[in-house]
Amino acid sequence: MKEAADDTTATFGLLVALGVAGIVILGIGLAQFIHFEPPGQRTGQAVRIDGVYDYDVNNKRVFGGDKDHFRTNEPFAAIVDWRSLPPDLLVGASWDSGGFALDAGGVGPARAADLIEKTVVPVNRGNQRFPAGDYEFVVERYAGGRPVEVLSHVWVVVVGS
Amino acid sequence: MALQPAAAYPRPHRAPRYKLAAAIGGAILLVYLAGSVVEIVAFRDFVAIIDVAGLLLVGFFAFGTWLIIHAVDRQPEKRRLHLTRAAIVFGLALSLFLFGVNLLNANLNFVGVLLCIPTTGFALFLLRWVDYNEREPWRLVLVAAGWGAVVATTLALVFESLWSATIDAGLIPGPGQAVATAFNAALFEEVPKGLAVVLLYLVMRDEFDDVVDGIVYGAAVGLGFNFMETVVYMSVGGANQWLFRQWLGLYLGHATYTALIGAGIGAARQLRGPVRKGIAIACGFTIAVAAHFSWDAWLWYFPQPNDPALQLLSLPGMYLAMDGPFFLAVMALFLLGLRAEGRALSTQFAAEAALPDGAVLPAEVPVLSSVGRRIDARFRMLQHRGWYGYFWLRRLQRAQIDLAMERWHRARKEIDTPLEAELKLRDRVLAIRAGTKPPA
Repeated sequence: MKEAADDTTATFGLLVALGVAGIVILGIGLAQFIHFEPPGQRTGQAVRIDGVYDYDVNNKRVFGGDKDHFRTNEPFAAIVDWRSLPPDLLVGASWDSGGFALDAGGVGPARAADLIEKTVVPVNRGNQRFPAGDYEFVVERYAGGRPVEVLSHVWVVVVGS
Repeated sequence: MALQPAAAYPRPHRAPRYKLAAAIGGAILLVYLAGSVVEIVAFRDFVAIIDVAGLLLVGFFAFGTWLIIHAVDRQPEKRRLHLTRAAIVFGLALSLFLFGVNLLNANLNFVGVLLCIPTTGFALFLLRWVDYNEREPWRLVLVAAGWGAVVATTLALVFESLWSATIDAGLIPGPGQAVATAFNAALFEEVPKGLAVVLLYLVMRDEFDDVVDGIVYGAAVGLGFNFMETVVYMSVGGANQWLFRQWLGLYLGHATYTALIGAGIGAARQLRGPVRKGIAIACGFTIAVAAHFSWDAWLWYFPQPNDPALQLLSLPGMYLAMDGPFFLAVMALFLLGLRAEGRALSTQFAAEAALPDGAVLPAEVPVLSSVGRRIDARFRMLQHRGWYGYFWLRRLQRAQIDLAMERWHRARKEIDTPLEAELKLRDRVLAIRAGTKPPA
């Protein structure tokens, strides 16, 4: 059946073209991944995060005990022990929320020695309420103007009030 | 195998008190079940849900075990039938268990389940309807959707959690981590979904003819997966998730991705040589993973206006821009497959009509070769002979199409059943035409 062989040829050709397109898409993704997660950056350094606490916005102080759950109307902040890092290490700390890692406040990048007074890092979404979801607090080492290594991180969950 | 001689008293006398005890036991079970159902409906009681699900599971396993005992001991002459039924019953038990796990993950979102059944059901109906040459049996379409809803979702949950805990956790939040997370979702959702199509391809070869069938089964798996994912996302994201996933993204998301896998496997069904088959299957999986990956990794580059009115325009645009090209690729493959099927069927109808004892009459060839004429002929039969005539002609046409499909595969040497299968299909057509009971 000659006509049937021709039919499968067209289908096969289209599938191969789609497969090549798929490889290109995944290749672009891999390049993007390598750009933002450059290999060979692991130093083995780690920073101590003392915990995440309720945060008094007016007095800029934490209170209560270490928690991993907050309500949408409860500000919170992480406490970082910057002294646990070499003083000249270029570092920063940031809060990210949701699956798209939206910026939710932070400090740095700066030398660890310059951040010793900024042990309290509050979450900041620009208003008094925080959308429910996962929040990640991460301390990163910087090089060439961008984060290249995670030194420590902690997650909390914000639930609807 | 020698059978044991029948016992002198195969059904020994049982005193009436045993029947009374069994009736009391049955009544207790029914009251217990009814009470649990009332508690679930009225109070959404979690323990009652476990009670009912557990009892159903025990019932399924007991019934499956009873069937196996019948297969090996009571009716060994019907072993295959009983074992098949037992496998179906155990499969239902496993599906029920996995559905329960997924429902727990969705915070027992029964409302979501009820809302998604009509939309997903209609999508499955439409999917099967457009496969107009030879529609796939409902049982297999539903098995595919069921796999997507309960098996693929469970496997994806397990492996995605492992990836998140081991790989994502050490990555810098931002684009790099987003790419890794997207690859995680694409790989560990598409592979479990694609496995359903692979299994259908291996086990149900008679109902897996070509690229069209692969697309139908793949899309059905995707629709099932989308069903359960909507139920889970609605439990945290509310009704908006239903709107996005059961309307805008009904065919554009998971259904499109897994249809691409199905297209690869379906094409492999008719390609010659293991290398070309392997390339087709690999290409299907690659483009499906890539399509899913691009949605998850690059979705956030799409403009997201804060104005709700603009969002109404932005969201459909987002779906069309991100998934539209892949949907068009599926449509192109589907149309190519339908065209190939149509040409092959026309050729085989004509060849069958040329046989002296053929199951297709020469006058039927142009009718059978056109879907429009087939439907027109059925409605003319409806006018003249009523519903009985309509269904008779539909059965006849379907049997003739089955025969032509069998001939097509045999002509292309892509069939592993004996010639006897074709003869039986021909006998079936002749029996339907003669009005006698067709052979099984």
